[in-house]
Amino acid sequence: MDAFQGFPPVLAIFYSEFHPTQGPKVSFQVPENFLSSSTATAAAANSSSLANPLPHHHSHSTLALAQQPPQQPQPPAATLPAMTHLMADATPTPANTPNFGALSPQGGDGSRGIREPSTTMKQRQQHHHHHETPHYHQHSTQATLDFDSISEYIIPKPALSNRLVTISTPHYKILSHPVTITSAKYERNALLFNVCFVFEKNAQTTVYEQVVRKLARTLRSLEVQTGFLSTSGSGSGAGSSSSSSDREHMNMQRKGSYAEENEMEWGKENAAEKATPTLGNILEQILEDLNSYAECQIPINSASMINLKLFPKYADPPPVHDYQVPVLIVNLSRVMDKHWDMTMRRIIPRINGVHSVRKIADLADVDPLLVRIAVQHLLYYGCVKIVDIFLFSNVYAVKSTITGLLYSKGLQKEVAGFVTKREQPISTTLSTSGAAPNASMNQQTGHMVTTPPPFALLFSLYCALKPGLTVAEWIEENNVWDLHVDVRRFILFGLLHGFLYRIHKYPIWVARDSEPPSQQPPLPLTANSSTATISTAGLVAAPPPTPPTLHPQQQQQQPPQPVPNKTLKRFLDGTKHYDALCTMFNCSPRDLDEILEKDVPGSVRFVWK
Amino acid sequence: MSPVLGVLLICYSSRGHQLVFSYPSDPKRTRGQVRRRTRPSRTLLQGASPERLESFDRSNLFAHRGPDGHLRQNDSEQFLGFETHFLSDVLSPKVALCDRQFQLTVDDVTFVGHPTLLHADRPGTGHRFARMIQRKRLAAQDAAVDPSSSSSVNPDTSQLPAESPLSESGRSEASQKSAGMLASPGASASAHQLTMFNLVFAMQPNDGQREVDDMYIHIISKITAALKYEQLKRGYIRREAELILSIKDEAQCKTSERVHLNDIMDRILAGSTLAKCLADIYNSITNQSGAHVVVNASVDLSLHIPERGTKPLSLSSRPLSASGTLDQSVTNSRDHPILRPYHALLLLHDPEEVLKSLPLDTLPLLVELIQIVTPTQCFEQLQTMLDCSLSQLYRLAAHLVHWHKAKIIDVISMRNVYVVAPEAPLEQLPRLMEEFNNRFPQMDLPTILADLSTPRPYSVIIPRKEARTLYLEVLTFLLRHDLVAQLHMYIYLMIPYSICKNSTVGNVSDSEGPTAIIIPDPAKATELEREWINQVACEQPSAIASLFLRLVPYFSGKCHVEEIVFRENLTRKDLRTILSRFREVVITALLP
Repeated sequence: MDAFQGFPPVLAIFYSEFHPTQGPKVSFQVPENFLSSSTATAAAANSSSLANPLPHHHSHSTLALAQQPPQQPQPPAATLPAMTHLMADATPTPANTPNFGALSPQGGDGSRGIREPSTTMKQRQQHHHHHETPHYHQHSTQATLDFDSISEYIIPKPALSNRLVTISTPHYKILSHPVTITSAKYERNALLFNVCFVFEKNAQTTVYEQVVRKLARTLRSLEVQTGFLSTSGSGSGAGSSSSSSDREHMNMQRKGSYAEENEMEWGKENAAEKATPTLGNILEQILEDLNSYAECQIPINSASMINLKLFPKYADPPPVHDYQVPVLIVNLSRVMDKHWDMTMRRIIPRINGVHSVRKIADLADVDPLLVRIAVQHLLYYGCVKIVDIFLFSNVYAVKSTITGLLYSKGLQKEVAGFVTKREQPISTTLSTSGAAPNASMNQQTGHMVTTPPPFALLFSLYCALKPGLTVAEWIEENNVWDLHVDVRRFILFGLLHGFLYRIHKYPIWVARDSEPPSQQPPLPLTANSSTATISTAGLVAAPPPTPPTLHPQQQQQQPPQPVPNKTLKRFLDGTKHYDALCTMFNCSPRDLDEILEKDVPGSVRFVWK
Repeated sequence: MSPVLGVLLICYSSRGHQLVFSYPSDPKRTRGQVRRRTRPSRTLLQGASPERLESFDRSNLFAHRGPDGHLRQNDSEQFLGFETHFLSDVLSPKVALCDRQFQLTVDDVTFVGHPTLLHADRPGTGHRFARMIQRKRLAAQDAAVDPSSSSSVNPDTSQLPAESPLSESGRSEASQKSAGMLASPGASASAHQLTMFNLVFAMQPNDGQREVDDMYIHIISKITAALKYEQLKRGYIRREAELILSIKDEAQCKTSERVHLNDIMDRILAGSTLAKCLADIYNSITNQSGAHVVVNASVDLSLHIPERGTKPLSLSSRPLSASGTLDQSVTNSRDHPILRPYHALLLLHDPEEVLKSLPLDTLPLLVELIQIVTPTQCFEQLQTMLDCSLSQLYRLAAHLVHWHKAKIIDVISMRNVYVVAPEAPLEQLPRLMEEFNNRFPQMDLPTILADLSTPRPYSVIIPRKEARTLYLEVLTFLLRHDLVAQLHMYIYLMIPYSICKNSTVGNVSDSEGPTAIIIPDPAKATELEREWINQVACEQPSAIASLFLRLVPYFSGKCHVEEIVFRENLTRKDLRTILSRFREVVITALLP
């Protein structure tokens, strides 16, 4: 996952449960007729004659409610035939009751498993959504979802229940979280249900996992506390529709997508009914709100509420190390307020593009681990980029992407502005550089006495960076001091734009005759670093050393100061470069050079990568 | 970390579904924990339900097994924390989900497979081949008086030549095996007829659906096709399944002695070719290498998942020299590495090893190429040695590159500049050092790498002339393991201010102040820019000036020196002369 691609649309949501006599069945589904099932349709046909007509009646009444024709202000002329169906739906007659599907022209097809959602559904959705996602209807002509083929994964054996289960069918991917509630009050001593989200087959559904889990958990506790599902669900319950007051409540949550007259009509029709929204309504609202707003909030009763929100998922940020330097690329101090995380608020003012994570931790008096985590968070949200500690002994090289710089006038202007030395007023710049002598670069570029420095010069300076040449040597070779270029910012620009990379120095132990430390001066490993894993912990805990004079001899004179040699040796295996080691031992590269050359002469090689 | 956790084979016969084989015996998740089932305190309802008690018992039993991995008889076997019976159940889907990609994710483990129906007699399932075999078999049985072994073998053997383009040995061996199989359980075949099998890989993808689809497309569908073929033709899966199950049963019947899981696995791998084959495939996938297996000594399979992000080699062998076509070919070369006559082929393993991993019906030319190729010969030389066309050679090279057997490099030369590669796997240094010391006991890897940390011609670090061959071999090793990369010199053209300012028009320069100007793409220079270039050129003697003008189109940072030398048929010395004569107007960059 390179970049966030947007949330894949939910094509359908359905609620399935284990019916005591009919087995696994789909009780509610939005949009209607999305699923086909031989048993379900059979049950529908027989429902009036069955011993248990109640569930079907209720599911129907829900559907009837769902398909209430909103007073369409200006129905498009093209949908006139559909409007007649709407009218038919609006006035429930006894003839409708046995098979609701028969109402729609495609009712017959529905039983054969070809889904063509009724026009009424479409219109209604169009009416509700002012800023609807365009892809929402594209799938309405696709194949139906055959419930029978997947029922064993939707209402599964106990081993799968209370787990997140994703099953793919030829056309769809179904994300669900089957739930089992065991209790003597149920007909079979258990209630098995599952709310399933249907997606396109190739949809990236990870963002929905939390939503599906949470919805299952919420419904479970609703059922356990109030019997919400068993009373409102089709299986064995009583009430089915929502009251006007709750409707209004829901409508408020919908950010005004309902027209007022609809509410009034609902109010009229449902005034006598119970005070909770049905599951069918809830699923419908979840489907619409998640697709339109990526979140939804549905009050269930005075105490409970369904709150769902989708969060974009980005790739995990890479690990952050103590020796890395975060650079803010967003001005966070402007957006930061007192409600932010305390550690973050301490850290952010100290991120200046120069301090390493370790240094920031020291300055802010925060555990380095916390700083690493905080920086990783900033990295995740794209607020910082990571560069390395700038030193004049560093080596950098260009990548082939530098050619791109030649074609971008914007970047050329940016680089010139970014690297210009700011301390010096322009007048002095002019006068001094006018006198700039004998630089080869000067001869090449003519008089480059302007501020900012000409791009051609900067480009040739970048190209002059190569493996094996330290920044100091590069400055020397190209007389960079005379050019009024802020070298640190010059390097930083290249790193941030990715056409420059750091070449690290890796010390590697080569002595083949195993253990040489005996020849070295005795190693006064201090008490706090006496364990086998000594190294960092001990050194970090030790009082701050005096870096400029960190010689082995001196360390001997100061017993509490541990000598890193023995510890150091284990890191000379190609996994740690100078930046890492220096940060770890809190010394400068020169100190490390001395330690490595004095103590173990000739047995360390330096590989630059 | 490989996302593949394990491989499972589920068979569905009249005896019901069975997890026949799973590998490895102790699969590990790459992340996340095996979830403990049931949290009694979570619900308000009282937890005395039989189901919960049962699961409690089960988890206790599981705990009994302990870390020694011994299997007791009452234990239900587990795979990734799932009971095997549960797995075989959920992984044998209904017919509607069969014969297509099957994918089930439970929490964070994804099972992907291709459940394959083996009904030969069911019309409408599209199993033409299966039906054809069955018809032939029936016909043969009708012909013979008794349905004995010999008659049922006949159709198989008669069909073989047409169906499988295989080696002689493999074919005869296979048919012998199949004869034996059909002879013994011929009568009981209808008793537990295999109706479906599902070869499933358990994965924890890091990258979402793409990895799963790669696995399905490149591995699962291919093995499944081979297995289906062998089952329909020779009853391979059923025979092997019975073999594996009998080994398992035998092990579990010995209640007195505890049998170690690994012992059972060893026995199964030793006894069953199918188990061995699946284990081999699993092992090579997790090692990120290609697998080469022969299913039932009959179907030759080469499997590997092509790396993401690698671009296909461009096979175009059009000669490019005119600057008109330069631009197009140059942009191409960034996207797809183009094979060039000055390139060489570097085998990633020793030739013997590469040859061993090839299928039996390998092209003779490919074998010959692998035997003679060295990274010091460019394709142009190889072409004459092998007496084949360059495009033929390119195809073979691309084939080897695709299968991770070789890579394309510039021909190795003492004059080339090599430095430690930016992506050199230094973290594997201990292992590489060992390998290096085995090959070159007199040398030392870190020292060589330290020598190669500054860019200079490779010849400089060779101490004596006699060591040349040795150092070339060392370089081959370093390139093979991506430890070093060749640096190329790229050239840009910069018109000095002294020339820009002379031009009267100079709109561009005026707006930017007095400065030198870099011409991004001299091949597409404007009239004014061309005038500047000419002005630069005429400061030099005419011969040099004309060569400079010929080369100027390449000074856009898109062609490295080797490419320019090859295209313009120059010597490196010619180019060096130009670069030194015009050092005021060129910027050079060393890039990997």
